[in-house]
Amino acid sequence: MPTASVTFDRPVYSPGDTIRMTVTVQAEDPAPVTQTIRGEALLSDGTRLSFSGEVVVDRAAPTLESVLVDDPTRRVWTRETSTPQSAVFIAVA
Amino acid sequence: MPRVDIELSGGVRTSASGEPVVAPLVYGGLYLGGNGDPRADLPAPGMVVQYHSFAEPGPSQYPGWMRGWIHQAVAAGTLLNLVLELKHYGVGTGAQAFTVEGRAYTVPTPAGTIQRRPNTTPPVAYSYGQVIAGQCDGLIHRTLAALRAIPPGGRINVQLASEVDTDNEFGTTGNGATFTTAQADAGAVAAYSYIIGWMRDPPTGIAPAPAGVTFSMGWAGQWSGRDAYLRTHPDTLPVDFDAFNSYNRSANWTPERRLLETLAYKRAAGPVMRRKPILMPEWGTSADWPGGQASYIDAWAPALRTVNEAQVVRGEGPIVGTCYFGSRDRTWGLLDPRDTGAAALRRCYATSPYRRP
Repeated sequence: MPTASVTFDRPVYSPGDTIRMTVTVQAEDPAPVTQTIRGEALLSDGTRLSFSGEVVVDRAAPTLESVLVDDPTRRVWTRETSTPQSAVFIAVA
Repeated sequence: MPRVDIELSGGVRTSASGEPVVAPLVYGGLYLGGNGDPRADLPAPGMVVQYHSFAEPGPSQYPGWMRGWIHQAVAAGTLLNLVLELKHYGVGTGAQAFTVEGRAYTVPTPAGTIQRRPNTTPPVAYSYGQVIAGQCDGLIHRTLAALRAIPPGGRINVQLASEVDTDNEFGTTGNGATFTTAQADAGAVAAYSYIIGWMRDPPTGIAPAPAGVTFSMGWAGQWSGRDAYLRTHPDTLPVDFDAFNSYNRSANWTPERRLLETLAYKRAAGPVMRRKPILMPEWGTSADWPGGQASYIDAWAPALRTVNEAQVVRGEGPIVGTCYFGSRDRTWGLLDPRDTGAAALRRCYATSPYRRP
């Protein structure tokens, strides 16, 4: 089964700060796997930020691609960069 | 608890908890003497503070005599911090007879004094004992009826007392008895808890406070010390917000140091009071701050960011509203020069944590 983990670049943000969230996916299947991701971040001020997308995880050549962003709140998670097996989303706190 | 939930193909779920923590946006306002209209200096204020006595007729409290602009501002999203005092403002101190929502009341003459500073004439006030005995129920109902005019989605915080600690600093009197500061503090907690309880859960047949109405109790700030704060802020005090002021007056301290003064008292309170968010109805600085008043105001927002980030990381209440007190004299907060100070306030409130850039 694939797994995912999340890290943030800072422990606390003020309004207007940039939040950088890194989502990392670990593949178990040796063959390339297309994964859907659906996520939601509940911030401490009560704001819910949702994101979703589709990624291809290849354990031999791990990449994340085609990450889409759902923006129901207009405080947008956007994809900033991707590295093998991980994607960085940014949003305004 | 802040967290992130992720679902992958095949129903695989994972989550991270404890992050991210985001400090809240803060309401910013400006008070001018005589409940003045601040909009010439601060268009579209995030917060407006007004001071009234329970002795006044309800519409004089909300929205206030000739204060239609306040109702319009609340409708547009401004937080109104409505300070209501048991202190009588001095005109017509006799008993009152009136009818509210079909109920007839007779409220007796205010039977107490507060703010008993030596060599002054202490103001007359409804005593805490009168409130607890139900003699002021008509006043409470009259205020409650006025608050029903709150526009849909509006927010009005009823702040009980301007500064309960300076009300009680030299003791109080009530119905012929004299009370020490500590006794007065206990009386205040009981009386203000009674008022909040009455408005939230009034007698049968009376509608409770409408949605959007919240409650706090005013406190001067560092003035009266930690013991007085703790006496007046038990976990059982049924307020939605903690409230205190912050002035830079007697010494030139940085905004951060000023903000931390009373927060140090709050951190000694019980777990419930520590978590309450804070409304600051008055902040200000002497115009003699080195570099000028505007430089203190310019340093305020970054200091508030720092303080609020520390509060939310601790799981304790951040400051969610601040109103600059541009009244009294230049040693407290009067903007001098006015234009320079007002421009600094506009800069302050245009940046984080008051606004997302």
